Amino acid sequence: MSGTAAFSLVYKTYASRVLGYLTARGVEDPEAAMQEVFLSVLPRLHSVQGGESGLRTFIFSVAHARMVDDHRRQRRTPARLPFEPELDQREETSAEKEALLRISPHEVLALLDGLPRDQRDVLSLRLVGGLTVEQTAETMEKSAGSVKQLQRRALLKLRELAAVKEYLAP
Amino acid sequence: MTSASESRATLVEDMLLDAGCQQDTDLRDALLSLGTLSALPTPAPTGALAALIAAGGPAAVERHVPSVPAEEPADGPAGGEPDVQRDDELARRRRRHRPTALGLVLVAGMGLGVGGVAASSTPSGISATEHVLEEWVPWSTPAAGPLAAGPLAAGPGYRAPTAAPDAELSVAGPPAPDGAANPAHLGSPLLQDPAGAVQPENEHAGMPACAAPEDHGDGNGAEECPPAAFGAGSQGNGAGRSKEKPEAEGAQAEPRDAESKGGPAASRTAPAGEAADGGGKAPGPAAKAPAPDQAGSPAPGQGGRPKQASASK
Repeated sequence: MSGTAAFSLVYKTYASRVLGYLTARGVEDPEAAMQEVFLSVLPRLHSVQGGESGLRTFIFSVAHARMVDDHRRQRRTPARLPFEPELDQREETSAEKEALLRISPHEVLALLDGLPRDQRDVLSLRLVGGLTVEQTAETMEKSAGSVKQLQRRALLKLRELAAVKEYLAP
Repeated sequence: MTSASESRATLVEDMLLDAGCQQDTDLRDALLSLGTLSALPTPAPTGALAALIAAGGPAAVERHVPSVPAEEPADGPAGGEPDVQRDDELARRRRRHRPTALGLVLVAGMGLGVGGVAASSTPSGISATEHVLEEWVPWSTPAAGPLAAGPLAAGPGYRAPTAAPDAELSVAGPPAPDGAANPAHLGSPLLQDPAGAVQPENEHAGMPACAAPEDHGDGNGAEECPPAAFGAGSQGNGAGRSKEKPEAEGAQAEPRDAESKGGPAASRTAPAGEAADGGGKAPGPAAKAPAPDQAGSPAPGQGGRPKQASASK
């Protein structure tokens, strides 16, 4: 497989997940950050070990580092524009489209606002990135047990939030 | 897409099972809706990423976009590398300002040192004069204590006696050739030679004359001083010039001194202790201090020194 084909395959496979993760974590410009992630990942494909799991962990490790950098930069420059759903022209053709029609991306992101940072990271990496507990632990540089504990606390906290029921009410 | 949704549903079920919330449908829906963010449409690569994918390798990208590989070392798998680069930038910034900070510290230190030296040093002339005056105080008579303090304090009671002996000396008798200038020194015994050439004048003439107004000195000391200096001056001149014949002239001078003062102390030739008692009683409590000085004065050539007064007994 040539370099161009390998790069295109990796990009098509993981770009949407990386973009979803960066969006869920509140990166200011998710698409630009996603492209920077692949600009860092693709030239190092030859050094990645561990097969598909290793490549996924590597990609989301870079994405996590980019997200942390973006959050630090946002703290230094707190002024930022709010997300406007009506300007979002992206379309979904999957079965989850109905849920997104009922719960807008802004509301989905608002679900995570009531959680601590580590719990948001765990939920985003597991649900959006599709990582396992071990991969999430490696990405966040934590132990698997702490990731499980964070995930459990995040779910309990989400259930307690009254906003969740309001959003999901028909 | 279907496999992705199925795998996401399986993942959500596992998570709910781990948390013990598998019966909570609302939470399941929320997690599923959150998972739909992974199915966002992928934008087409643009810019440097498009060039990288088209080139198929980092070497080709370096030709197209030279600035991109320079930033790549900071984007390793470990999340701490950006922090390391940030620390390097901060360290470089600190090193850039280090010479300026060092120079400022040096200049501030030198300024403080010079200022401290200038503030600690005192003018040498004043302190030397005070030191000499303090050293010469023990050479004078006990009554010279107030006199020694007189020039320093520049009080009115000090200068009054100096004028009185001059006037008295010119009237009382022919001044000695060497003693003409001596009364002028009476008011400033500290400036005289302590070796003893003019010591008699210092002892009995100058000391009681100025001691009385100094001790009484409530502002009217100048009025009381001349009588005291009158007798003292006449006696002093006689006694000072005639050390070989002290008794007769001293006895002659003493009644005048007693008359001029009106005090019982000088009318006696008694020892200084008795004279001190008599003189201390007459003027009252305020005059107790000058009385011993007056008592010491009748002893010719010995003045108010305690040791010499006791030797005259």
